Amino acid sequence: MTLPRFAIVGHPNKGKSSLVATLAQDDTVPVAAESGTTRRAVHYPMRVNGTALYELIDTPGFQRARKALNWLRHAASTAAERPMAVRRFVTAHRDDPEFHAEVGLLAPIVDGAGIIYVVDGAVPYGPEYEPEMEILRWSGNHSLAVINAIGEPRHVSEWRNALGQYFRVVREVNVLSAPLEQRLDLLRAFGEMDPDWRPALQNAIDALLRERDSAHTRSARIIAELISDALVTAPELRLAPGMEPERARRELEDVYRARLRELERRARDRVEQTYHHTELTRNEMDLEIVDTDLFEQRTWELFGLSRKGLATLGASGGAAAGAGIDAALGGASLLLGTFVGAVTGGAAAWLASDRLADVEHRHLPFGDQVLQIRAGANRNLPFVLLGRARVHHSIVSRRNHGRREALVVEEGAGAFNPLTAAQRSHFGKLFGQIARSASESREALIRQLSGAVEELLNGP
Amino acid sequence: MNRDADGSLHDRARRDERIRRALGPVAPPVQRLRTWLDHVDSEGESLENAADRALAMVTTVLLSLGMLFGATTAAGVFYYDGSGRVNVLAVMGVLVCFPAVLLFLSWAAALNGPRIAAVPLVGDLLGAVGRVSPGRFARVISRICPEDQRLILNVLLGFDSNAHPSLGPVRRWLAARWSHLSGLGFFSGALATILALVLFTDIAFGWSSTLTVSSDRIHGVAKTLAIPWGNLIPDAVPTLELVQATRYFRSGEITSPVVDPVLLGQWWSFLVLSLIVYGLVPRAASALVARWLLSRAVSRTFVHHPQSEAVLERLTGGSVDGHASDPEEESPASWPESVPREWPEIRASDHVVNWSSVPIVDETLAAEFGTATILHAGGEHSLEDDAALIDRLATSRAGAVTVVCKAWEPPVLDLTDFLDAVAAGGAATVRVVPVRVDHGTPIRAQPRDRIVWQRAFASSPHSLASPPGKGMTH
Repeated sequence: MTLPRFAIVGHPNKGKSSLVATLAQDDTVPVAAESGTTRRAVHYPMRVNGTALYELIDTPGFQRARKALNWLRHAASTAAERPMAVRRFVTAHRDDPEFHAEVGLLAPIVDGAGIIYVVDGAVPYGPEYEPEMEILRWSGNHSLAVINAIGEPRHVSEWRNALGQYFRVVREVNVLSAPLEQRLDLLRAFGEMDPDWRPALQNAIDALLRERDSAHTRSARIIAELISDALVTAPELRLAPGMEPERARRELEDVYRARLRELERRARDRVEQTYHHTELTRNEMDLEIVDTDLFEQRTWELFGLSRKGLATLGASGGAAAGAGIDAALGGASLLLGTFVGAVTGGAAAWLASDRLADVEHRHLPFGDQVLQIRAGANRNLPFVLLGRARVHHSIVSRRNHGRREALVVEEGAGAFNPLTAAQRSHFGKLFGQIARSASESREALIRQLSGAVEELLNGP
Repeated sequence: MNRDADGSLHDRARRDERIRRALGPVAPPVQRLRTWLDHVDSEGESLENAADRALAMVTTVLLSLGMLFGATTAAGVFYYDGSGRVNVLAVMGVLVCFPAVLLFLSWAAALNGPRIAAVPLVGDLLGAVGRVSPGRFARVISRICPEDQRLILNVLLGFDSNAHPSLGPVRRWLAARWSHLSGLGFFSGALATILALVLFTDIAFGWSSTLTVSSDRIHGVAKTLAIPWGNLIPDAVPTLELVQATRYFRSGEITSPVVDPVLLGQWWSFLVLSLIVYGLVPRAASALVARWLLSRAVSRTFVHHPQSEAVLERLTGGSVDGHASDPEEESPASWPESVPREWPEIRASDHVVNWSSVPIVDETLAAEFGTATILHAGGEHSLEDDAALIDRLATSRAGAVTVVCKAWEPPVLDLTDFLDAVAAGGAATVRVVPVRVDHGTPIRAQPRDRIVWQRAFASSPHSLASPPGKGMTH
């Protein structure tokens, strides 16, 4: 079976390369507002397990379409001769700088590639497009038109009317924000052009769906590891002689904050790589919600539990411990254990809610003193990290590879449902177990947390 | 794997694809990963050698320390200056019972540490045992190792930030193995010392206890302990006569005033075999089992480490790669940055050409540019029409020609050809006015349009200009 190949063609600067980048999941595809960013045909084979299933060919935009059509009209007198005329045009001008762009885009077509003609639905239709569409029609190849509906697609209906006269299938896609399902629909439409191409494209669609599931699983694991690392990290500071404990404490808190920020940054890099986003790192500065400082009050209000929520979580933990005592006493305590446990747990969580971390002052043999800091009673931190990781994952997993602007949170892109009471309780329990775990037994807990996070990522 | 994660995703996919093909479809996961490591890590061999050397170093030091400690302890317990007797019960307590308890606790901690640690007192005991566990000395030993070996040990022992949580089981069985090897060293050292003392000195053994224990009871226990070797070496099973004859009391009186001196030396074979059967053999067996469990944990961690799983996914299936086979060398990111400049306004022009049907009626356009007629070219017009217009402009010796274009459409060479032809025909100046259209009137191009046009006309002899009047400049 021959490899299905698709030439992405059109007027300059209409989103051809963005469409290629999005479908190829490659954010290194050169995309810019300038005409002529793509100067030659570039081949993007979609390989699954090393086997190419189909190939996209990014091409330069038409530059002298009227002139090329003029040449073709002189070369063919009947409709039957038109495909051959296009082939002769490519052969005759292969080394002609005048038709460099036209040869670049027509060469794959005369070699049998399907035509994907891309237009911008945000700008009006104009007569300058007609020679381009006419040339493509002359080739006689399978073809499909894509209306790139970026921004305000006010002109889509006039485009549909015009394109309908040249192309049997017209699809409307925002190449910068189309979700995976829409991209897969577009691939299915590619397969409809020729029945022979359908199996390969269906294989590619299946592989992309499998890869999305696998990326979710790997991201959940990365987030679980981040939270675990944050819970158990415990930097120390040896107190120099004469050093004020309060100053040392502040220094240690700074070290602790820096370490947590670094852990979060590394986890984000890993999640982005999981989704093939290798060029995003420098754009983090522009993140609105996700890039607020981990320790800003606003961040903690957004992602952490409220003070009341923390007290409730603490109370439920205390009540569970107290209930154990009640059960051991066979009910003789009249549920006093549960009550006292709930009050104690709730009060402790309330008091610890605005504390960054626990700082322990230890005296070592031979007179040395050490300060050590760890998350300890701070129940908010893992919830804040989880919330921020969820938003970051939500943006990265949906972001198309054709986008080149800074990673920003679109309205609704980072929206997610808050944790239910049962989820809060489950996560709270896991966080506590991880914080107390020995390193040898932590792996099993991280796997449990990873499973819970994955469920959350897959949820609404 | 950490180093590999820093590389380009695309290059990794390509390389792993080559490895996948070389491996074929049926290679087991461990083989896949080993082959992958051999391919990707040029430092792999030296890293593996360094790891082997580091582990061998720790093992040797711990084994030696164990032997030294065993020899010292045995020498202490068997200390005999001729004035008293070496108490068999003390020897059994220090060299057999106490190590047996430690052995039990170390297995309990290794097999189910967290649950057992939760039991009050047992947890404290395990903690105390853990603090003196020979495995703990590994970190101290790592400090005297060369840099590369120290780094590996720190990762294995969990003291490095690269230590992945999935290394936990490996760490547990590594510590257990070192612990048992130290124990093996301890019993080897103790046995060697005891045999040397027995051979080169004359030791008088006896037994004594503060508690009221009858000789029959002690004989019963000794006989039970000697069951494993009783049939093979009957001389190493204490007889009731020996037990009765070698009892002594703290007052210094001996039960039997007349004791055959030969009897006083007969306990040694029982003690040596007790040490071998209840000390050395269990430790050796434990070390072997720990070694097997360690290698199983290493294999599992090797295969189930998240980074290994990612590699295996690339090597076995599910790997999707859509990168270019022949990418462009220069990316737009390397192009110089542009800022939109303000273009001069044009209030009047000798000739105004509407290029490619900008949707503005001629009257409006003529009024805007102070001219009588609007000419048309490009778009639906044929090249012949354009050529006729160029001839007309040349014949009329046009002064300034203004070409109004759609600002939202980037300039193509079709336009440039036309501009060049007009200039070649004798026009004094050719100015290009990209415009946007608002309610049928031309307004200025938006900044992002201006950047596109500026770049395209950076080396062009034709100038860019704005339409007259106030337009949207956002």
